Amino acid sequence: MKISSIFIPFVLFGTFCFAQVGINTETPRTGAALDINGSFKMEEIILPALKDASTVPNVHDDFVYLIQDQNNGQVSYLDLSAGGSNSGALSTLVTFKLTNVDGDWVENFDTKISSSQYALVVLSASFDRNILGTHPAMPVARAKAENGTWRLEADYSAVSSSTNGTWSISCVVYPKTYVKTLGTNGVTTVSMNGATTASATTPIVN
Amino acid sequence: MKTYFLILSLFLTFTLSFSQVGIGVTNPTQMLEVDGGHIYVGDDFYIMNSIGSYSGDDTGFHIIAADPNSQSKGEPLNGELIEFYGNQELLPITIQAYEIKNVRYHKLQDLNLQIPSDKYVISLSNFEAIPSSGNLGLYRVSRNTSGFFNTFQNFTYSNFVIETSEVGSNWHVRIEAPNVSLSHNTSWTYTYKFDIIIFPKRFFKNLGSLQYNLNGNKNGAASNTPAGL
Repeated sequence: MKISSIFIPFVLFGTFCFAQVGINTETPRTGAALDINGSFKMEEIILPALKDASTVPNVHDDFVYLIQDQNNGQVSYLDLSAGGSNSGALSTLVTFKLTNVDGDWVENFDTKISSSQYALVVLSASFDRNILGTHPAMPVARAKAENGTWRLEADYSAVSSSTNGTWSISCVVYPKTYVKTLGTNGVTTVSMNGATTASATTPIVN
Repeated sequence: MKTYFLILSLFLTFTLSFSQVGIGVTNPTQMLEVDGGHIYVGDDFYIMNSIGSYSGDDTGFHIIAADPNSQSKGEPLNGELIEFYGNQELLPITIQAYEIKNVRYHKLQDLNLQIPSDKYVISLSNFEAIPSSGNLGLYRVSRNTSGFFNTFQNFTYSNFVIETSEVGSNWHVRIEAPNVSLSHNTSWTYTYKFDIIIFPKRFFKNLGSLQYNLNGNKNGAASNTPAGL
């Protein structure tokens, strides 16, 4: 009878307060309010204002990002040196070396990289042999999304090489899970009206 | 006796169930609310997928990272969560602007950036070439001199190569028109400007160079999505 009278208030309020709690450990570590010697699963977590990263020395070799596996909700470190070269990354760098092209012209090379999952940007490109023509021309290389995949095009406009050459096109591939692409439904068009300077009418980012 | 047995069995299984728990908090507003101390998790850590997605703008969030070498009150902690802001040095992408002055003619055949290639991948972008006064800036190799009209057309221009490569254990840059002789106009110089973007290999994959033969065609396709994507 005495025991049940102690338990009743707890059952009614359903609220407990502890100073220090160890789960699966009898000796919670110093400074721990809660020490879980095992795995921890929750629906939602609200973190306090965390430590500012500027207090961490030599951070280039130390810090790792946290990612959440969308299959089971597990929070893991993003560390390619531990996870293997084919595991997920913030982004991927790749060079496409296209040999024996039509003179100096690549009109449409399908990288087979999904344009719905990834954003692909050409960083730099170069061609491997001489160009013949009356006037010099700029090398141009760009990526375009067509039918769900990223395509590369590269050329020296209006001139060509006498033999079929090789383009080396380096690209960065960003997962769209965290990189935003503006103008997905069309490019931003600017008319220069024959002048050499202009300004955008509205900023695309604030 | 019956009650004692009930309590005993609760402690034996080490499993208790509460509706709301506060640690260092007398009136918890969450299922579990902890104040005034650290939370250590010894093993895996899961947040169920019912957690909402962020829908604010670009400036309203900080990325969370962990410091594997962190310490707390003298004890190794291995994985204290920190917010990534407040120090540009700590961000995952480093962008360094370069200005390479007084390049002979236009040939930057090899520049060792001394950036270790075992730790970083780099890329070059935002390139600008500024010729010195009098430097014609045309990478003409030769011209076809047969016939009167041909003296004004059918020139041969060298290709222009912008390349980053791993040589030894460092990243190197090469910018030049390789087929133009250095003996041309040796007093002419160029200034090259570009940005080097530095990506730590722990977060960024480098698939290297993938080669595809277009067999003389202007159109082609990879057989598969590159491995790793």
